[in-house]
Amino acid sequence: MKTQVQQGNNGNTLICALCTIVIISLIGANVLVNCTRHYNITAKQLKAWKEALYAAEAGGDAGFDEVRKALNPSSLPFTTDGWTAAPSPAPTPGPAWTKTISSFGQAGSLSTTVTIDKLADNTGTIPASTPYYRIRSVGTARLFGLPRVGLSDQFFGGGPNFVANSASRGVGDTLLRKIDFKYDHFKGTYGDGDGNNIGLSTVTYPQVTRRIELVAVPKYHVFGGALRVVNAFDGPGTSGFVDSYNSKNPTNPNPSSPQVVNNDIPGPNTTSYYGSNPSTSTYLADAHDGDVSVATKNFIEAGPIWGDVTTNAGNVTHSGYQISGTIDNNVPFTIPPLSAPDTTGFIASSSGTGTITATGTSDSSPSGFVCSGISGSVTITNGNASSPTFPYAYAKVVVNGHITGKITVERGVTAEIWFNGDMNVKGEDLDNQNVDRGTQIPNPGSAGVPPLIPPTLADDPNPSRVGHLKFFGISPTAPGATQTIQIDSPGNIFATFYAPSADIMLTGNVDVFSAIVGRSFSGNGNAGFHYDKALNQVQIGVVTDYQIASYVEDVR
Amino acid sequence: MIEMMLAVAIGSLMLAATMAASICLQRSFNAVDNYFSSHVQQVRIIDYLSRDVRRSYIVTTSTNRQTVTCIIPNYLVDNGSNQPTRATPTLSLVGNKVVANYQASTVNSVTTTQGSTTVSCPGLGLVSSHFSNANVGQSVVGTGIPAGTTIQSVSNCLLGNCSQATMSRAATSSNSNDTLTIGALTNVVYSVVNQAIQRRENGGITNIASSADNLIPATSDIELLNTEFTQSTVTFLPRFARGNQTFLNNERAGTTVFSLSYLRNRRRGDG
Repeated sequence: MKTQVQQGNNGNTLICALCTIVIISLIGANVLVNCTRHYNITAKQLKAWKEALYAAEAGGDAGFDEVRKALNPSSLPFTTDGWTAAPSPAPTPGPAWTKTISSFGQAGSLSTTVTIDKLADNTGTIPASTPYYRIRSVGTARLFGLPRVGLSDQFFGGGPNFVANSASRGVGDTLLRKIDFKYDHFKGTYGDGDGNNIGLSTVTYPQVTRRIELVAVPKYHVFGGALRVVNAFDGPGTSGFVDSYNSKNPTNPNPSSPQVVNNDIPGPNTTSYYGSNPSTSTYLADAHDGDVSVATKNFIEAGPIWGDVTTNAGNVTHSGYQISGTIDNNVPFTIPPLSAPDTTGFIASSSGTGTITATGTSDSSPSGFVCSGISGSVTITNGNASSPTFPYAYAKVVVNGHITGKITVERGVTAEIWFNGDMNVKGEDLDNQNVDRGTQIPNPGSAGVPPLIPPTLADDPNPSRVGHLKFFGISPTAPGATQTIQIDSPGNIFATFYAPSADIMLTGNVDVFSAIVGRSFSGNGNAGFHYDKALNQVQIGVVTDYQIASYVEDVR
Repeated sequence: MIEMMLAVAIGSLMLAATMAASICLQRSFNAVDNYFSSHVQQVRIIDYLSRDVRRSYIVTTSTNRQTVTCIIPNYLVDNGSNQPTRATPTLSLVGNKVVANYQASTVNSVTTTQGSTTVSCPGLGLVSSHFSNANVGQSVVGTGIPAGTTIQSVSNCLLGNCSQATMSRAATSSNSNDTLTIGALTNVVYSVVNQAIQRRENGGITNIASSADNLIPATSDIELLNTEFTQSTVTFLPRFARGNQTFLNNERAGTTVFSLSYLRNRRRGDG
């Protein structure tokens, strides 16, 4: 008799198989869930976090681009292209402007909102009349993929606030990326960033926001070379040359006898005012920076140039010209027109003759004077000469007319002469009585009282004699109007010229110690041009552009 | 009996095969899971570092490239609550260039001497930046100044402008034209501590990754004349396979995540 005792074994096998499948499935499912979570973090959330920064920086760039328009009188900033006044009350001291750029990037998932505040400096670093700008940009990126996978944002128990610390926000990615799945954590906790208007704000889609703040400050012109002209350069003359020196360093003690320097520069007229003595290489090292830049191809040279030359589409070569430095014929540039300065509070002088006493104590707070022209003789005296601590004075003279007379600047005075007419003088008419590396007269002290400040070579804040007399040619505003600066011999000149709309002509036997920005330049005869390299350490107060001075990210 | 033995043998083989497959599968799945998990940590380290380097004034790295110190503008004003506000920038001159600071200021043309705690600045206080009594106790950063240095005292003062200061630590290099940033600064240090990669912000510690998975971060700081940037790599050792050291090195190299970040607030002494 047969019995069927093994019927139940089939069920055991099935159960074992099922258990095995279940175990393996659980392992696989667990791994797949983890992989999905990690994929979501590394691919989706990371992408959104990075793109939010890109969006914020795009907004910052748009804001900075708008700020730079402030230098162009024909294109006022913040008036078009979507810019509006910030809603009142503006989040920061105004005036402020804002702009939103929405729906760019993948599937329109990015947006940015920029707010720009116009600020005035009260530290004396820059004039209060020259604004600087704070650019705040918020970039937002929509989060694609699975929501709430991998992060654990939590509400603060007492209300709608998120609390940005590791106790409540978790660690790692939660602290770093702060994804808003349902509510905007920043608005819920910090409001506008300064604690104003805190409130629960739902978001349409899960998103990431990042906030950056840029500070755009004025960029001032610095004379970084000998001559920089917009239209044309024609010089030096056949018996002249362009070279350089450094008033901070010892200079050639016998500069009036230029001699041939072998093999330093091609051509027959290989002389230099300062670098002429081949036995004193110290001087020679400073003599090769008389750089010339022309914004067109119009470049004519007769005498040697000890420095670099750049043109825009010119055909200057070493074989055809006497140039000691590098040549680049592919350097375009522009120089914005120079606007008249604000003369509010300036002392009016109708005659433009006689004595002006300067008592200002810095470039940013000079004594101000305004006159209708200089045809006679004007002397700017040092009103601070008897000061034991600071025997230097600063003056700013605005000439609403022509300069044809004599200007004397006493030692210790730094003078700015702004003019909107023409200048036609002889070299000896521009009498700059300062000296290079001027030392302060020591305060002898008194019984039991030591001198307050020991005299040093660095006493004069401006070591350059040239840098004490600065001419600014205000650009004509009438259509077709031109400006000329004509300086003839006799007499050497120690002054700088910043006149982007002026045609500048030097004639005769003059030595010009200077740096020039102009529309065009021509020098003939044996006029020598010597650039003081110390000028490239000093800004001259003319704003030519804005630049980003600070970048911070609000990581809350 | 024979049938039973055969059945048991076959069953055992099947069970062994099943067990082996399960173990292999689990190890493989664990390796995959570990790979993704380590990759997430890799990216997190890189993102933390890049974010802080980008907004730093100064970044220094240790010789072994595993400790990174970032000096960051103190953008937020601590009001003693959980609601800090944003600081208003102030301007200073560095050479002939305008820079912006948050709760800090700059002093130009400073002379530092290697091995000395004394720093000095020449000239007149009325026309150039100098130290002041307010600087005492504040953090100071600059080329050749060790991270975490503070101003201990100021001297040679005239009308509130002081031409000399003493620091808490000696300068590591000599410089005749240094620019110092002094004030409330945020100090962030990344380091590998035991089994964790830590980020310390003014002393507050956050563990941003675990090094139990043999994560190795390495950051180098490259300073050029007009710019500065860091290059960071983070690697880990996958668990997929075993082999000799060369094999393991190649396995690790294959996981490299690289990042290059420029300091956008680099303070340039050249104006």
